[in-house]
Amino acid sequence: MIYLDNAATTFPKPPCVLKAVTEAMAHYGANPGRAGHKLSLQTARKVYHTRESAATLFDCEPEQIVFTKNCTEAINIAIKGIVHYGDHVIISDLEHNAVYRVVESLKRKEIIEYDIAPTCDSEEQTVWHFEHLIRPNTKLIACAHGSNVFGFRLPVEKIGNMAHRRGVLMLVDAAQTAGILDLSMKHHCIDYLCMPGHKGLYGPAGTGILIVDSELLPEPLCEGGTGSLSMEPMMPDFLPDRLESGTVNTAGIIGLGAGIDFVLKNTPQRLYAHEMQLCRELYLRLKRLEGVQIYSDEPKIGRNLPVISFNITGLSSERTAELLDHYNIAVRAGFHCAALAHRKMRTNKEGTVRISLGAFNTKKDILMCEQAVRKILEGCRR
Amino acid sequence: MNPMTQHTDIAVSSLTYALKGQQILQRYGYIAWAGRDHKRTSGCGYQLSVKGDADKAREILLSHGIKLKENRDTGGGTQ
Repeated sequence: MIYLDNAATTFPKPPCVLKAVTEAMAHYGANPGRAGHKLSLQTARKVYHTRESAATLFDCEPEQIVFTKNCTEAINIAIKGIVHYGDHVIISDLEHNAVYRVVESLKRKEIIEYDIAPTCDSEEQTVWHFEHLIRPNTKLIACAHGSNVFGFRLPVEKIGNMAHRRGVLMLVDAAQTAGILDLSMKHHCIDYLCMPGHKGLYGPAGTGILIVDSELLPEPLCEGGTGSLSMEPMMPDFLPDRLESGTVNTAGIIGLGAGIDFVLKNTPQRLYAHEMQLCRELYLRLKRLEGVQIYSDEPKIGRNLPVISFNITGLSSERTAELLDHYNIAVRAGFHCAALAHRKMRTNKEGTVRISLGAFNTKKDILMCEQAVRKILEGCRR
Repeated sequence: MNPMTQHTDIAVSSLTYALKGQQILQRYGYIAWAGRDHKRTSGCGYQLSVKGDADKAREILLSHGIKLKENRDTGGGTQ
């Protein structure tokens, strides 16, 4: 199987992640942060190591790292925990449903209003669109760092600067960029950074991170035991406890720590360059094929993510993905949980086929994928 | 009692702060370890046991944003 669906979740995971998860299940079975016995403290140290590694990668303090079950949960905690009745939110026209459905739901409950800012090739113009939509009651801008469907990168650093200048909070959905693009909580104007653990950070599924870098701590979505201030009726007012009630996913988090260490060792820059090189090569090969319509830009470092969205003339995206699967090429077809992005690109009828690269893809994978697309095209012409 | 051999328990808000505090103090040359605060009666909690100048240790911890709770001296080196 040639796995080209890394935007959904990266696979395979590095051997160090498998080892860490196995070790966690075998040797770190106690509940971290709940007891005082040796095994609980040893387990807690392992969990804390993941906080430290994440803090190193994203340039923040370990206690700012809140573990969630995925990026969607991180986004839900942040948005629903910040906004109140009468607030206004701005999102981009490339958002994943993890942002879009949250604000739409809040709007339907008549809690907030929101606007969608158009994005374009010019970063300055994109920032202008966001700024133009700011109202006196705008509380938050929630923006993807990159499109999960088309691989367009958004200028979140510039949008964040503008947002802070205008007194608006900034949330970044780094679902597709954490682990490959530079994200510094110290240098970028980001209040809430949301990410999955199982994509570019190479952790197991069921892991995610919310980093909070604002005085305004979100109200918890979920209340319960934290192992701290247990006789108090209310949740603690400090991180990460305020947003981490209930037993955490110990083995997953320990595995995530190994994944982040893998990223730190290989560096996001090198991982990104490797994936972009393969992506560009595949893009150029597919671009030459008659009958292939590509919606993504030609991959350029800094401008795009290692993602290609395309269709084959005369075939639905689902059929194309099915045929690719016959050739043992794993890709994702359809709408990628991104209604807004498909509407923007006018692919909302058929969807697209998405190819997404990861750290373990090779040039051979690219050549095999091109060969499979050629065979499908030949079949269409018969 | 020699303050440099005495160990002091410094109560902190959470285990995360205890583990972070342990590393910070170790960087400053302290012998410090994070553990359960078995004496706390106002709810579950964690602490740092520190050998050496406890006042200075508290100062260091606070300067690094560690949230402290009330603290107690335990005397000469018992753990």
